[in-house]
Amino acid sequence: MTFFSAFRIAIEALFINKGRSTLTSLGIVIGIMAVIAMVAAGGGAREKLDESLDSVGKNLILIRPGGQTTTGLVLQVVPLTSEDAQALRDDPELRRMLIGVAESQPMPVAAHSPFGMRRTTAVGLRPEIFKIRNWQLAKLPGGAGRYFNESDIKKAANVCLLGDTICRRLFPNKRNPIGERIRIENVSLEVIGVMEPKGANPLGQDQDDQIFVPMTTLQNKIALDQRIAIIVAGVKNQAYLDDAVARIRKIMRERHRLRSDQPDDFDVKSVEEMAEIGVFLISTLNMLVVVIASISLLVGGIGIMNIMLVSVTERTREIGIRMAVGATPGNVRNQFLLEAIILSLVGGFIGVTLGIASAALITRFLNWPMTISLFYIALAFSVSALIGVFFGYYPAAKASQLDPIEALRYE
Amino acid sequence: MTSLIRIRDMRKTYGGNGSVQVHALRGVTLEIQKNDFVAIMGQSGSGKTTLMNILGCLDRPTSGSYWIGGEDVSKLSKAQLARIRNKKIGFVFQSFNLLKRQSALDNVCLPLVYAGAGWWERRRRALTKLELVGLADRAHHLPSQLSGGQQQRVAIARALVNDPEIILADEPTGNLDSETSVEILAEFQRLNREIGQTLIIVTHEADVAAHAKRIIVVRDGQIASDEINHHPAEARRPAQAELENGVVRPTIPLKTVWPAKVANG
Repeated sequence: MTFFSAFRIAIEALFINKGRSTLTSLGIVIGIMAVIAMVAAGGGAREKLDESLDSVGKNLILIRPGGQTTTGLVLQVVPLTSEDAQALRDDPELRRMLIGVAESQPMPVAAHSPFGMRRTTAVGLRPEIFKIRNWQLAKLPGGAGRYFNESDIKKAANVCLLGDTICRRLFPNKRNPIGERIRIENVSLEVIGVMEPKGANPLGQDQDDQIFVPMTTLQNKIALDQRIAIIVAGVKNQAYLDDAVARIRKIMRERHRLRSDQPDDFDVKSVEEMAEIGVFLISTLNMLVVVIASISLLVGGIGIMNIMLVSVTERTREIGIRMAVGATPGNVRNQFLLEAIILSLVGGFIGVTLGIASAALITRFLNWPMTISLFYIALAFSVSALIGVFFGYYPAAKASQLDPIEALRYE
Repeated sequence: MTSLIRIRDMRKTYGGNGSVQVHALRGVTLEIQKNDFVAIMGQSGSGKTTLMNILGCLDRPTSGSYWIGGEDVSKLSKAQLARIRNKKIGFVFQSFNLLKRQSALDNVCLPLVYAGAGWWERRRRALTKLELVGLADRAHHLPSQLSGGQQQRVAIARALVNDPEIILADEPTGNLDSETSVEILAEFQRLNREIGQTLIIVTHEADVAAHAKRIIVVRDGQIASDEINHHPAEARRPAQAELENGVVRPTIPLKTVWPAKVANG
């Protein structure tokens, strides 16, 4: 018996009970669809996360006020100060490992230009930040302008750098606003440069809708408040990350006079460490879907087995006829096995198609990239085929063991 | 000339191991020559069905030997028996046993599927046999669209399609009216006469058995009598009767549709 004739017989048998075959493969369709949709959408989420992590920089260490328990609960808030940052900058051991240390304080403000007012965020910064974050000035016609520097900090100079988005909003028709003045909270600032676009951060905030001013200018002239929100440190090499985090923690504990039995009242984490939470969330979600999909596939497989058992009983006489004209037990077994495999493979195919379609929909809605590797599609088909073999084998073996005499007599 | 079928002291016992043993066959010895036309008669419970099942390789004897064309088939496995049924035996059943959802042609093709023949080969050979039984024009009809006699002739075409050594017919006229029964018996006689087909008919009707060249009576699991029928009853095909009555119906000369058998020797 050729494979093609066995295949044709199986297809014909399935077509006779179109409705039943369709319903039977539905369990497989749903299971495979869920897996493919989730793998495709989840893969996209991970890629998106990676992409935005790259834009932040994986070699960053963030120091924030308030100690945290392992569950993320904030324990005690002791504000960070520029002196804390200075202490880190002055430590020789850290200097060896770090590109630099820069404190930063954001503040929501209204910015005025000759062309109108925009709500945005003013961020007080130390000049080290440009090196740490590798932020570049945009190349503008007529010169790129300059970063602010240590002397601007000392003088609390009235200068600012514009993010790409806010620059286009404040100066809609001006290609080079350098030398123009803007006003924030009654402080007039000179625009000395525009930053290269950076895109959104991992939280989805536009990093280009910001105005950078020297830290002292913000503290002493705009905010009239010495608080700082965050200290950012960049390591020269990822290998230093753990050592640098430990050293920073030690210095900070000393500065805050914490006894050894007291918990941290600040939080030191590398960006990579923080990203692990996101990765963990995605993996957990994926695992959950895989578990649910496995249950669906199991139920689908049992459905196939059930229908194949019914089919074998219904077609006992046909089996008898086939055996009488020369079908071997192996021929009969293969025929029913093939039917089960085709059922689950068709289910798998529809599931993959619907899965990709729904992933495309989800990712389009969430504005994620969609990644679906051939590996997962191949895996989905292999799993479907395996389900067909696994759950089809018992009914098929039962059919093959029928006694032709009994089967021919069956009404 | 060696016998096509040789059976030596064949016994078949059902049950045992605690339950009551039933001796369906109690030592049957039998030889059937090529080109013979044998009727096996017997009451129900005589063992004729058991004998037929073993002759048809659907079952194995408990003891004794069974040779078909020089091959001992009494100890073969299920799969090997299936191959013997496929190549050497053609079945004709009382209830036709056609696959209801397949056309006449596909039904005739069925044994060739398991013989591993290709699609074109199957159709060519199946059509030849359908022509042989006068049903070429009904090739694409479903069994439900055919009369009882036509269905049985499709079954005969199916039995013939692998050019078997023996055709084994179990009460082939049991579900047919008397006129159609004669038509089917005429078909058997013609196959026996014109292409030398060896035939075994199992029946409980003496009328039917009377058409055979040899009549074996089975009783209580043994052969009660085995006689040559010197004057077999002649079944006339209705087609011939119709021709004589002036009703024209296409008939195919056997010589043109039987080259395969001649070529195979």
